[in-house]
Amino acid sequence: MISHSYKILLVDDSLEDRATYRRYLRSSEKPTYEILEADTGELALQICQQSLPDLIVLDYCLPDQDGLTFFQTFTQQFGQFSLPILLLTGEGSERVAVQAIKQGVADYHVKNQITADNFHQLLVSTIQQFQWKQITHRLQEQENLLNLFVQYAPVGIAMFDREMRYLMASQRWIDEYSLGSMADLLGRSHYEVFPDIPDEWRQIHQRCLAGATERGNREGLRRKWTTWEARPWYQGTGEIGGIIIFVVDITQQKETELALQTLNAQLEQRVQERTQALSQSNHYLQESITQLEVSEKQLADLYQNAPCGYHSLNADGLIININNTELDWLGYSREEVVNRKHFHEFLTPVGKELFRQNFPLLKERGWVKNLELKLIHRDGSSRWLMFSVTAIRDEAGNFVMTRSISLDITERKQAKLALQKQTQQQFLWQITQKIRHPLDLDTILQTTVAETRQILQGDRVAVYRFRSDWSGEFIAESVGDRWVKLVTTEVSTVCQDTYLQATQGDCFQNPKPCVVVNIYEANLQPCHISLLEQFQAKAYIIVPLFAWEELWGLLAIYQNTGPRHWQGWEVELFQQIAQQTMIALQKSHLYHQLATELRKNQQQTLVLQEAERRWRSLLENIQLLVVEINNLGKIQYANPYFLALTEYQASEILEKDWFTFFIPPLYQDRQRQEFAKVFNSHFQAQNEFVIRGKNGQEKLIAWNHTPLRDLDGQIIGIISLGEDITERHRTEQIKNEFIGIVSHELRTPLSGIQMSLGLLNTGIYDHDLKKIHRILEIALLDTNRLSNLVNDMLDLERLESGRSILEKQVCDAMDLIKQSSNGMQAIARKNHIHLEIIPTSIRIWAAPDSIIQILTNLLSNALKFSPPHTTIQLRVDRQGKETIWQVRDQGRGIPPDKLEAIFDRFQQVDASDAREKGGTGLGLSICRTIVERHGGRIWVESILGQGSAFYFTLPISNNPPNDP
Amino acid sequence: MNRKLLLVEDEEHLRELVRLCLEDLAGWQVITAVSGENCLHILQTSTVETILLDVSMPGMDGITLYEHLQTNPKTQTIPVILLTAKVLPSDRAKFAKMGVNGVISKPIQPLTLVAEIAEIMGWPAPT
Repeated sequence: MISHSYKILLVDDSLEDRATYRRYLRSSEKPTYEILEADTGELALQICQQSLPDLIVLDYCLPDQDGLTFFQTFTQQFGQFSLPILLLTGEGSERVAVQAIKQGVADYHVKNQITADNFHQLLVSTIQQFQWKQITHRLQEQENLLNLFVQYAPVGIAMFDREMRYLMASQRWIDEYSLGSMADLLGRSHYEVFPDIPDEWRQIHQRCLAGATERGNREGLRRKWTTWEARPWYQGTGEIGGIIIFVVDITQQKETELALQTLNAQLEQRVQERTQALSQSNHYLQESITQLEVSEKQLADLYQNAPCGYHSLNADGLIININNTELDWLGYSREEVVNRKHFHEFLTPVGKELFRQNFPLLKERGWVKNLELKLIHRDGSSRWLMFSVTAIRDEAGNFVMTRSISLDITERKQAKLALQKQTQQQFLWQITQKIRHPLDLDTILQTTVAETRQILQGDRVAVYRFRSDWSGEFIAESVGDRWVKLVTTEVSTVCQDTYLQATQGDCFQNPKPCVVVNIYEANLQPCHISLLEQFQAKAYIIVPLFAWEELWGLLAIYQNTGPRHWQGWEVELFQQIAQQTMIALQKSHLYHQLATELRKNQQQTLVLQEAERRWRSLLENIQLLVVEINNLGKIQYANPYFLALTEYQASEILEKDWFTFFIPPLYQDRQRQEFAKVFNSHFQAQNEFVIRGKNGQEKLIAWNHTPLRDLDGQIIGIISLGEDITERHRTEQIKNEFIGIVSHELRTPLSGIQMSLGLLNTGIYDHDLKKIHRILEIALLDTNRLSNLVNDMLDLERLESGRSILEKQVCDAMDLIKQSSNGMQAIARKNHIHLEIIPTSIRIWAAPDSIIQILTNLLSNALKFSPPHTTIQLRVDRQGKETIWQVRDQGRGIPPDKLEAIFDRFQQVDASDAREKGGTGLGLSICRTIVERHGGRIWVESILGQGSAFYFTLPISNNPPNDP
Repeated sequence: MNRKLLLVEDEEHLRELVRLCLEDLAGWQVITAVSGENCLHILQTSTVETILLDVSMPGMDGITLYEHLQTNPKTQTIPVILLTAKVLPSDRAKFAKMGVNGVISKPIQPLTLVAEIAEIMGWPAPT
């Protein structure tokens, strides 16, 4: 059992895993392993076709199929007991493993629990266990086979132990001796069952138990003949365990033998008798002819009443003399025959033909011996006669007449025919054997017609097939060379038999054969005769062919040489051939139907595979998350998009619990409930919830869950499609916040205006001018603020949406600086701030108004935050292909965490600045948008308490760039 | 009738205008705070009958301030009326759930403001 070298096939798509197994296996000294490898199931099967290994180590997850599919394919191709398969599965795949073992996989092991030691042990024990299993299986099969054989063998078999107790008996044995059932028999002694068994048999049993084999024949009850054999049987150890007796029924064989013996004996006796009679009569005749003294009367008596027929014919074949015996055979009186009848008138058509051929021969040669002809009696009965004829010539050698002696051989002939019939039965068997196997219609029909023609010696055998309108065509024939062909490779003769069409094949609906000896004497319609003449037929047998209880066609045999007296056995044989043909034909049809269905199935499989491929391609490429979980919450599938988003490998998550793996702990219970609802309600469900990726990243997903059903409609899992809405959700939040801010920013000045005017309107200050002024001032300030805000917001919106067109042109940076500082100088002076301008003339490509807007904005911001007696510097310089603009102040500075944010909308350093400094909170956003639309950048550098410097860049106008 | 209210409002103009309304139209006494912190500071020394509280304020906003007031036994009994520009129904529901005594939305006419406060507080409407 234990071999020293095993051939192992590793089937695993992971190069790494295979390397590991290889290393483990190489580390073993005894046994050694020959290692084959395959990375797909397909390749593994190819390897197995070349040579089967001792063991397959099979990874459950293969790229082209899963382990179970592989196992099933393998079993179909190589059988279940050809070799053991060790299945490797991922952890937690017990379900798969149990299923696999149920189907016959030898064993399984969890992949990551394999070590060098246990792998080797696992392989050896799997192979050994499997070998035991194989042997057990083989023994069981043999036992079953043996049991079946014994039970159904058409032979009596009984097996006994050394004490002649029954161990086994075939059904035939039990039936033959009326022994009840096998169960009754087992363990009982043969001598108890047959207490009256003769001593002779006991002695035979004893001799067999001593090692002898004996056989013999025996005539049993009811004239039954059996042949028996008794022999010892041997145990595994070589000792005789008991005996077996076989009994075969040979009654039929014996009967046939006896019948033939009798028949032959009778025949021989008759021939002897007749030969004796003939020689006797010849002897008498000779004597009487030579001895002239013998009286005329004696002679006549002998001539007339001898047990053989005499007649003489003239040159035309007219009977000129005939004895009483022969007249008796014909049933006519002498007067009716002599000089009135030609001999051939008493013959059958075949006989006439024979006579026609032999009569000239006789006249020429002078003799014909042993010519067998059938003579027809007046009453229609007939007898076979054997003629020996001599021609009587005159002295000149001219023919005068014939002299023929005939002998009744009817009985001999019949015996011969019986024998012939037996031979013909063999022919039928021969045909049946030939057409039973070929499964295509043409071969069956061709074989049938060819064999039939040969056996029955017809001139043409053909198969005619009906069409649905009851017209039809010859579809197969076998025909002698000299006759017209009805079926050629190009064309088959179509017959428009209107009679058959009108009556729907009426005359053939009756399964009886249609036998015609001579078409001119069978009362056929002239149209039929002319049709038959086209076939050159003179006689025929037509047998209808029935398939599925419908008239399918006709099998016809034609004699063209002349009329033919079809023998009963010939007709019967022909009918049997027709039946066998139709059986073969229906079998062929079934086979083709089966083949077609098989092909259809294969096509369906292909279509399914194509659909599966398409679905898979869709799932693999769709920009949506697709995940399938089974009813235990274990992940069965996750598409690449899902894996990319969560940063997992498929192998890390398959068969893992969906909830604990992906749902943040806080929501797990709720999600379990939601999924249970989908399982129970059988409906789709939509919801949004967060999943957690490999690195803890959380994604908000809008899900659509659909129950997954098996073929019985049973829900086996859920397919969830998800859209990652994390980003969308964030954008929405920002948008909502912004709307909140805008509404607040707009309502605040509006509230001021409304309340101011409302207060004035109450009239309580009608006499307090000071308060009226103050309230109006507030209203005016708020109105300005509102108007600035609305203007800025519209500006910004137009800039950002691209609706406002920046009309760029070549302009001089110095001009722009001068224009924007002009209006500011006055305010600066008023606030005692020094505005220092360092202009450089650089040609730029820009929309001048928008650049002035930026500069004004930055300058006014700087002025707002600059204490008196400080300097604000405005300058522009060339730096490479750009101009770099700078507005620097000595104000309070900007905290580092606000350096970026101040360019966003409504993100003033201090909210109160808006009110105090009259800003809208949108100025810097507008600046940034304009700069970016020019292809530049804007930023701020600042030191708290010392001042800030705003910079932006614009491209130089060597080549006017496209508006970005 | 010497009703005393505390107005918490960061917007200078509104602070001034609301004070004028309540003092000159209703004849109530108004003290003001410019921020949440300022309000908590004032309440350490002053007692008021109700607090008018602006919701949107930089720094500590009105909601946070309200929660602060509720944690202090000394201030948690003072009725609070929110002044807010946020008028979404969901906001209103949220405020009511918090337990504030009333919500008044801005912008608002001076007379309406006075009438609404009086109604919320169950005070007789000033003539």
